[in-house]
Amino acid sequence: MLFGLPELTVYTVGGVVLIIIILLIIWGLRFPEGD
Amino acid sequence: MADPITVGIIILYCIVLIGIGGWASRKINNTEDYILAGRSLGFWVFTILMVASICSGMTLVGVSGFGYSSGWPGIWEQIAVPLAAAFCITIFGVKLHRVGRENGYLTLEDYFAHRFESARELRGLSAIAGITVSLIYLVGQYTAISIVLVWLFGIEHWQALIISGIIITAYTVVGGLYAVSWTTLLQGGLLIAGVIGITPFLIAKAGGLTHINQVLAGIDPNFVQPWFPSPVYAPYAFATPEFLLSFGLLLTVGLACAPHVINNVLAARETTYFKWAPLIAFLVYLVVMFLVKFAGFAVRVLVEEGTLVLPDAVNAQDFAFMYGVEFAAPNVFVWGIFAVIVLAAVMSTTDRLMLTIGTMFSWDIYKNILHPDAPDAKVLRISKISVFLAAGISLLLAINPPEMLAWLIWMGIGVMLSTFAVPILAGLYWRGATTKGALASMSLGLIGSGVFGYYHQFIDKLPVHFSLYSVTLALLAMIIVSLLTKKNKPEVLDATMTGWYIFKKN
Repeated sequence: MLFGLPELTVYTVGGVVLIIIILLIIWGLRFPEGD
Repeated sequence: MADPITVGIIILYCIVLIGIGGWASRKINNTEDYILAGRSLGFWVFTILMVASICSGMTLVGVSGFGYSSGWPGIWEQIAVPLAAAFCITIFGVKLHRVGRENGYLTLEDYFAHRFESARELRGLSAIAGITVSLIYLVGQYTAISIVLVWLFGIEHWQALIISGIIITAYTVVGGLYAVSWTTLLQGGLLIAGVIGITPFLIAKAGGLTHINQVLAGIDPNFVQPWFPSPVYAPYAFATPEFLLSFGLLLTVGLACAPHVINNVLAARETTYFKWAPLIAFLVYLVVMFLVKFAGFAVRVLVEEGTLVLPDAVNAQDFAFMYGVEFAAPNVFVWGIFAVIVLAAVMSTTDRLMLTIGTMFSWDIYKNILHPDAPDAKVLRISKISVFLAAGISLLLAINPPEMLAWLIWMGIGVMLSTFAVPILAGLYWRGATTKGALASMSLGLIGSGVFGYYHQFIDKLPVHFSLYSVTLALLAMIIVSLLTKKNKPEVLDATMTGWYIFKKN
């Protein structure tokens, strides 16, 4: 339990947000310079 | 509700907005300045414009209301909507911005006309569909503004519409995208700072997040689950896994290809902005959306515990955020600022929509279809008149149906997804997509969304969002018709950077 939430909620919501953030960071790092 | 301080702050805020419009009007020398702010938007103006164009009246009114009535299973909306900004910038934005700059596009319809070699048919169909759907969406926005003003000042609905219409129209007509983008920077900044500054007080007043979740679980154990089980067992429990999948697609892709959102990518000054703008737009918007959602949870708890009473109305949940902040605001000055923040959220989408409708008519229909020889000064004048008319028509339509606010907005996004997503994606990434394929896809998507939307609302409930059916129809039409018809010229496909890549191959 985190903040009174079931683990399923914490892991699915947190996991999806984290995956999106990681993908967007990868996008930024791989964005061609000077393009 | 209104006290002299609140009224004073709101009047000051409106004067600032109109002042920005006046300042912006001096920067406009031609139609490109008016429609695209001379392609001059810097990083932060562009990024906040992307967020605030999507962040509409529904963000404060609808998101907290949805949180109030449905709990955590609705949280996916607060992930999908910020993702729409990132999706638009990454999947559509990089290519459209580069192609747009090289070929001088002013609107998305310029891209369609070039890529699909259809100077009249596809441009016209796209512009008419875009104007229709933006008007529907705009009516919803004006209704949201009215809800806020009626409640703030205790005035009549029509009076609220006229006041808001005059202010927004004034700065949008004279200042074009310069005014819209700079007022949006102000409005977006206020919105972000305000939500981050005020909602923690509300959450604290309701006993903190852990207590809030415990009370929610006591009302319905599924309120703290990530989704409701199938089949739907109560009107508020519609966020089942299958519905959420279609809902996520609708919001992420549908909002990303909305005309008032996607056209922003043409106005950015540098392509390098697209490097970190997706992450920043997503994070900023995510924090705002989550806090507003938590505010909805907090108000539910306060109401359940008898601390707060919402108005006795069918759409009582739409008042959750406003009543909650009024309850939690430490003093009247904070409350005045908050009133401005709510107005900022609804006005920042409304002005962009009005400008989009005006430019689709003046540039795509008047200049490019009806009067190709019209001089630029005349097109500019027609643009301003069109924005004015868009405001007038939507205000007239908004006088009628406040109870249809949510339906209108969902309908609008569903039509956007069904009509534009497939032609844009196929146009950018599939060299086999043809003119007739695009025409068939756009027509079927538009008609299909009307049919399935009507069926879902008035005949029988569908298990997933209606737009999933119509966008599937649009996709099938694009593939089948494109495979059967003549391909577009390779030199046009090269000039429009069409192919399975995002960055141009050198």
